[in-house]
Amino acid sequence: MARTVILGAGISGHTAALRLKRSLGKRSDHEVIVVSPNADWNWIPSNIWVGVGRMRGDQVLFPLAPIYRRKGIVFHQAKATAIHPHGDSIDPTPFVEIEYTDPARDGEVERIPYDYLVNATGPKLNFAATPGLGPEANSVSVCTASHAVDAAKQFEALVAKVRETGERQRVIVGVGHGTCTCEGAAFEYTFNVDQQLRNAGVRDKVELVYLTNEAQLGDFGVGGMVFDLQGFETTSELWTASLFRERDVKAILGAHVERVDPGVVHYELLDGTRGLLAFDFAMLLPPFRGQDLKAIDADGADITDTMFAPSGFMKVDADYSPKPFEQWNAKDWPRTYEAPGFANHFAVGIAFAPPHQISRPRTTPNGTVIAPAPPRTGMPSGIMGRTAVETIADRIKGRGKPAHEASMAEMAAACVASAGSGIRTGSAAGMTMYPVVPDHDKFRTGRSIKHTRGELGLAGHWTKALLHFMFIYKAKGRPLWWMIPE
Amino acid sequence: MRTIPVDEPVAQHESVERAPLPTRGTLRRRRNLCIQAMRFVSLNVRMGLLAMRGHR
Repeated sequence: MARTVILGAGISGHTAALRLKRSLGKRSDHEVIVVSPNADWNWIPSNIWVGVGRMRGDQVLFPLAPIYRRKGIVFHQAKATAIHPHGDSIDPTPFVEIEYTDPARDGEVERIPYDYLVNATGPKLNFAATPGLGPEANSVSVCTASHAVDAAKQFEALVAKVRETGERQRVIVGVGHGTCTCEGAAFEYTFNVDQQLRNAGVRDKVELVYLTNEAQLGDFGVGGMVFDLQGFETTSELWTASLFRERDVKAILGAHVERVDPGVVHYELLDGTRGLLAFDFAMLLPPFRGQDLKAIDADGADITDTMFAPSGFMKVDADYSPKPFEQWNAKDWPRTYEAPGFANHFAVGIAFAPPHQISRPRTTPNGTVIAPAPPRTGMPSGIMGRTAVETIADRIKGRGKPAHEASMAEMAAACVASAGSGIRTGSAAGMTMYPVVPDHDKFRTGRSIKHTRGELGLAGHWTKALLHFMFIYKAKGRPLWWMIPE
Repeated sequence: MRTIPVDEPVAQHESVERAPLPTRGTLRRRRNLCIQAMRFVSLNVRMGLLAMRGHR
């Protein structure tokens, strides 16, 4: 009997758990164990709609325990605190230490031995990186369903105030640090706020500002894209800037947020100038770092620095040698997501340490690094989870095959960025790119012009709505769920 | 350093100021149910095919 422990039950961890259990068979002796501090699964892409009050929080959440019970997966509502990849001085079997967050066993500590480990712990929302950032301080967030519910309440209060007093207001949406990722989510929230303000008839009273660490609009942390548009190559920058102009959204680019005071955001720009911008409502996403997870060797030595990058993300089969932007190569990116020197330990989704950014990192004259982090959420994260457990399933079954591969430099991704909701009035930017990490050896523009597309319209909104229902259906493990691709 | 108050507009970024606006025809196409139904099928088929080529 083999035991696989999956840390985390987000898109990559949950995909990994369902796919592995299906591959091994419900009645097999092989155990699949999921450890997640959260009782619920959250379809995070729809938090955008929760954050403007178009959807309730419970529409993007469902409890994990009944799904895992039905599928024969063991679930521990707990957080992992330490990985012991070589066991301890008595028993060389690897194990993970967990601390329960389940109210029935809150604070209890347990050891779970394993044969295979998938680290899919996702990000730690690092609000502490920027003083005053976050829902506990002076801005709101849509990173979790509860954050989004809180954001919606504050946004609705702002709309009510404008209606009541007619006073001019400023809304800032963007990222709260120079090293943030998920600019696409900030983009979505911006245009959903725009639409809600228009629906409420108060758009002319609200200045909407997009504050981002991207040096150009349309960068999205992937260095932007080049599309074929009616026989001409056009950039995601032009395409995105057109939408900003059409909707009258102000843009402040290349910004590192230094501090958020009540009603005032402090930022530094790429040219080194600093600015202070007053606001009435600010949704600023936090930077991410790895979860607080230690690695301990059999002799008790702390090997966290060996297994994890300084960012807290787990090192896998990538090329981490430091090199300048000009020497970055598609081959730097991991293929199997297995940790070097720690056989049968994998890290997927946001939990793996990327070798470097995808967008060009920049430094201000004051020495501040402004470098959008590479996105590895959604579709790529699901594909990585699936790939890791396909390798594990092969090994458990003794198939003797090489590890499965899914490099982000050979992987396509689709992103549907909502720009407003409603079955007749909705809009979204539907983007596909291949590959996610540009490969300038293979493609002149870094990506395939044939497979890298962008279009804006109602069809994008329908697709975003379809993905909401389809992925919640899949995550619930309903009949034929496995036919739905990642 | 001065705080830009709420009643003083923020200067627009030059990349936005010089970006082309969509024509009325483009805006109509983005809302046209027949055209968008076709785009919906096309986008989803493309996404499905791309998802399948993601790993081996």
